[in-house]
Amino acid sequence: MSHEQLTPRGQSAVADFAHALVQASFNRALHSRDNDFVTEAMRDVVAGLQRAHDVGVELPLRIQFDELRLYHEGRPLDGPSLQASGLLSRCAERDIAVISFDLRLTSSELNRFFDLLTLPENVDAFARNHRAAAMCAFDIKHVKVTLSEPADPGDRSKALGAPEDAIRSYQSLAGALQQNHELALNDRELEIDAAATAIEASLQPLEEPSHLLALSMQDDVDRFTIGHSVRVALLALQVARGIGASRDQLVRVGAAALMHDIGKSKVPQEVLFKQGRLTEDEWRAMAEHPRLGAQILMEQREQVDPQTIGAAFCHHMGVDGSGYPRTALPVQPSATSRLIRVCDVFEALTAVRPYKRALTPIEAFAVMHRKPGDFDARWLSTFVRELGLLPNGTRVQLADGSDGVIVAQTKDLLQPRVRLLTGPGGAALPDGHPGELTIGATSQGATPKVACIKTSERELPLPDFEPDAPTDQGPGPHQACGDDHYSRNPSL
Amino acid sequence: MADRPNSPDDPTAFREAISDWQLAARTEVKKASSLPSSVFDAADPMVEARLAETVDAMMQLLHRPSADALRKHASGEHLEQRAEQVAEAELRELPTKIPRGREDDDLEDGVSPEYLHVLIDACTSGEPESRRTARELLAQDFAVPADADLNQIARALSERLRGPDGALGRDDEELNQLDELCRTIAATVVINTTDAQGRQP
Repeated sequence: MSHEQLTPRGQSAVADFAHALVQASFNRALHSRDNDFVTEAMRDVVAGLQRAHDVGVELPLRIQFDELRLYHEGRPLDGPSLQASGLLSRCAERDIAVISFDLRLTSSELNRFFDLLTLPENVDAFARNHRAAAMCAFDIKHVKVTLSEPADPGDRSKALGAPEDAIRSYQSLAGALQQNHELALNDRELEIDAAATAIEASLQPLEEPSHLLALSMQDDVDRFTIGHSVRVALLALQVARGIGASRDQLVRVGAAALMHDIGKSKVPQEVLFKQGRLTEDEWRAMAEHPRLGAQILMEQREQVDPQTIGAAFCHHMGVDGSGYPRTALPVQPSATSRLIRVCDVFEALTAVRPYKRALTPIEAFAVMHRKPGDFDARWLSTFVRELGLLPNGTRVQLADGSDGVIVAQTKDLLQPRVRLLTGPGGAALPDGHPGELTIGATSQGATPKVACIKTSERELPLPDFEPDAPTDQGPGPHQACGDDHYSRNPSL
Repeated sequence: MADRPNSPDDPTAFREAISDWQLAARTEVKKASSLPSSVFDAADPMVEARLAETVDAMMQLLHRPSADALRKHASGEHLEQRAEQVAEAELRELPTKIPRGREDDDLEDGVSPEYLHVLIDACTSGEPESRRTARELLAQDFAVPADADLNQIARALSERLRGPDGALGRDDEELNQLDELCRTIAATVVINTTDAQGRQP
């Protein structure tokens, strides 16, 4: 059964399984094999396999690998791939093209498989003449490994996924951040240069903003909020680039955004990953992460800019010092910290999480405008203007039933450019049709209008907007957010 | 709480019982919350909705348990995900809330005072090692002498905070308060960093 033939639940189950596999690999790199988090991660993979089976996915479940992505039946699994740089490089080192997982797999057997896959001393275990003996020696019966064949590229060339340079940038940012969280967790010196290098490398793909949004919409079940921090960094870079920041400024802002949650590596794991509501004591421990992050970064001041230290400390603060952490003197967060706070909350509202529905960007903007003092009004406006009310990459349906995708912004927030994917009612576009049009601009006697936003989960009807305010009035006063629901949400 | 229905096979009694249980559960949660009802209602309607769903699901399971239903409910698949509600009017008005004009956005704005505050915070509330580092950084980045006494530190902090970048001390009263606060903080810095240095191996 091809990936396309699976039901949406089947496709989702495969993606969840791949996420769990990436997570298990990450945990094996971070902890000893008997660590509770490793055990839990292995169980998650086995449970994911069972769920896939329950919704009709054919087993053994074959996950394919190349140097960039994971695939199922030739279809790229972009979401899991974004944080899979460690797993992908281990598979590449061992020349692994496919790993098949049988339903009878147990978590302890999977952990033994990861001994073979991750320990440096076993790097030759999958060599053609060693593989059977190694699998036998480690008592692995329900995982099968297929090595790369030069003549067997599969049908991956037909894969339609996110652009390669965007994926690579994301993986590079996630890899640098994972490395630094691991170093912070173990009280070791951070590799700030690796983060800066990854940020520099990400600037080129950001030239095409729709790639950014596509990556930002990938779901994320990682620990240490790696995916969250990477996306916050990409958003901050996008805005900073839009206002004409210099390359040096971009690197500084990107580093500050990427590292803003580094303090979470010092929050007790049972608090950080608790599924239920936090007790007061747990909340106090969680609320220390900004202070802890600043202190981690302070220790390496020679490599770290004051902006990065400040943003780690202030990203949950309003501009009048409300929010947390509490300090003796009221702190005035810097412009960078205020921008990162906007990106931080927007990312959390629009991210897919197991416990909440993702808001569309326009809904997130509306929520963030509810209380005028929640955010720095100037940065919030700049943020919306840079992304657009309907950011590039947003799938829309026009009033005449045509489907399209937003591809560019114009000076008018209500008039983005849309690339049509179908004609009215899903029909093919007629020959000679330009394929792109501007929302609200009359052309050939018709004025295109967006009827609804389409996501994989739902359709959001859009109202007739009130016109964009024709005023040059500045934003409202810079006020602080209180210790509100954004601040109280540990996932932010 | 309502009594369970007398006959589990009576659908009318069963539906009534669900309604009673849902109402009772909502009331109990509101009573148990320390928040005023108006705040509770406004703050998180999803709590009530989820509670009602859960009561419904429990009753359904009690009434007609099946392996499939049990597995589905154990997995939480039946529960709706949390969803922030955004009214149509909010979307309609959103463009009017975004000013058309753009001010100069300066990413460097406020970096120095923010950093100073972070160092002060670390001096006063950090772990011994962080206090020591923060004191060194105050000397390195803000010219607060590493061996400064309480008055020198207080003066240096006050000057920095009211300086061109500083956001504090706009009138005499604020300035006096700032000086007083700086003396208090300086005292804490001296005590804490001396203490931290004393603990060095």
